[in-house]
Amino acid sequence: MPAADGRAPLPAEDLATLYDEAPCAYLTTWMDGTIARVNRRLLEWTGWSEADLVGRRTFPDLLRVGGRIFYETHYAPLLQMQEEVSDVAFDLEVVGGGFHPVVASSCVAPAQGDVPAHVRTTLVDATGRHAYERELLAARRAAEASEARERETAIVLQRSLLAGWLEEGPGFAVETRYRPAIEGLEVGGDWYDSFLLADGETLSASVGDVVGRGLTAAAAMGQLRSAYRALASVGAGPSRVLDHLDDFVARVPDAWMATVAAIELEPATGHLRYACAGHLPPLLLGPDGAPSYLWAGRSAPLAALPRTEPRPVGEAQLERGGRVIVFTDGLVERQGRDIDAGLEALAVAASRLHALPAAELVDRLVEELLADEQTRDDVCLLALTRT
Amino acid sequence: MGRYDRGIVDVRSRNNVVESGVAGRKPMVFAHGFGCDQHMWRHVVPAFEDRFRTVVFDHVGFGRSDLAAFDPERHGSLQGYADDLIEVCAEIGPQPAVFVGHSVSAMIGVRAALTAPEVFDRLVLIGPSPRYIDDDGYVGGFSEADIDDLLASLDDNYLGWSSAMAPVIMGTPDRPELGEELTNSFCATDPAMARSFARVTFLSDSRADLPRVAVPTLVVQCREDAIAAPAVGAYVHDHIPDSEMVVLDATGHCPNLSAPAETIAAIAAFVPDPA
Repeated sequence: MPAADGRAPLPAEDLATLYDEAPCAYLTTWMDGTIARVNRRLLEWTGWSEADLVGRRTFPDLLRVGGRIFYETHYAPLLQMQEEVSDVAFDLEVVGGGFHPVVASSCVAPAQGDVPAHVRTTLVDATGRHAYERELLAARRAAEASEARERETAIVLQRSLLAGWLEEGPGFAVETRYRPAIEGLEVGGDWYDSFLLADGETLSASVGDVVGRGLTAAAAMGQLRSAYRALASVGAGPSRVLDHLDDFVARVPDAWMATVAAIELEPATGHLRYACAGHLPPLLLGPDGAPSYLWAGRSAPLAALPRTEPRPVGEAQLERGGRVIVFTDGLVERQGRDIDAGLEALAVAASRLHALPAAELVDRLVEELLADEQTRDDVCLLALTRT
Repeated sequence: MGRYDRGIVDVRSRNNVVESGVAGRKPMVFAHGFGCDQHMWRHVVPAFEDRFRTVVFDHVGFGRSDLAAFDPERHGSLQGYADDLIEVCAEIGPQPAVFVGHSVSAMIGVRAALTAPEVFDRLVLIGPSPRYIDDDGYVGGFSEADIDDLLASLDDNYLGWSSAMAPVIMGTPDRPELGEELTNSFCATDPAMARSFARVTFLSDSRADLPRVAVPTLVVQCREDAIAAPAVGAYVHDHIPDSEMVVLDATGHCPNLSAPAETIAAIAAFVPDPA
């Protein structure tokens, strides 16, 4: 009698037919992996006869060697731990050469009466999927390699923005620390620099801060730092360098309102000249650790106001063993706290730690002063020691 | 740069250290091998909880270890994992402990015992192999091409990992139950770390370490093991001076799962009762 939808009825299928003619391979193994039963599909795919397999070989024996290791180290333990495993890719070895990609899933049939526990496994043909996945994987690897190359390029470029500073020379040593606001970037809008002027005797040191964070600020910082270096090298002195930077910044919108602390030291005499364009005052530490901020030589940030007068310059004496610490506001500024409290905290800490070697001193200062940091800003610090 | 971002290393969370048993007693530290995580010990550890401080942990890159702690350089050799193990032992105290290591962790334990002799006074090595690759008269059981094939096999199981496992394993350390729900999660890890550990494991050569082991050592060997054959276990036994070997009537590479009773009996007979 025809079925309700008019189709001819299915012929009766016995279980053996369903098992053997299934579009996937079946195998049943004992818990140690020894094969107890297989369907015809598996024999077709592998080229083995039933007599070769049942009782004589294990499931991992049918796999390529990599799969065999994976079976012993992943598949078998998973089966023991969770009694089922799904979706694992293997290659079946084909008798006479070649292999047949499959995806395997297994479940444990618990012991019942006289029948010990055993494992039922289904293998689904994965030839097409295998090729596709290898392509996906190759594409992913290529993308990852390309990303790594770009990242490397970006790092080199970013680091170049802060490169080339002078660590030491006759009568002085410089130590710097830097922590960008944006995690994952190497630089931000802050900079430090130190170099000898054309006379070969005067050390120029600068710390600056471009408004904003991230790469835009970093790019403007790079320009400003280079300009500073070019202008200062010829010996124009802090005041004229800043005046020229005003003109420069007028043409670099991202650098507008940047702040700079400009310092020149004659290491032989300890004579210090400095000017701060909108920047926090440098901290002078005497050889005994006595702290004092350099409050003279103050003027507005770069290109902030039309100027008629030259920017003022302060002067100070740096004794041997004394230090000047130049920094950006990220080190001391906290929301809801007066900036003077931050400056006081820095002075107290620096005075307490002054006897430490410079590298340790700056590490500790950054560690202590950033301990209560809430929002992340660029942080930059330069410590100049007269030796 | 960035140097201030790194906090002090929290060894317990880095290695997902889990302690049980009697507090203050002699520690027995169980180290899982290549492939899965500390769950490999779940049938064995309870047998020692009544008289030892039992400790399990995950190697960095596996289980619920801190994946961010994976350092390609440190974890590019067995020494790095041994250093992690020494730090775990220092964290739990008191020393010395009994070490029980499975698979590649057997040699990680040996390395740790040579690096810091005060850490262990007994070693139990389950399915150890000092070198997996055949070499001029030495039969490890594999060739270098076989190891490349293993790496390809790991790659083939890469995509399943990235889509299903990554968010669970990486993102929810505070909700471990999410991990439990996913099949295969005990043996899933970041593909790059799995590749690295596979290389470290299968390309390592610890043969020179064996004669230098100075503490009593037990080799537990299955009568059939496709990863570390009986001859390899015998090699380890022959080259560690104060060692004995037990061959279990079990097959496969993980008797801690497939034959826990025999494994427990072998360990218990070797390790003196600390009470």
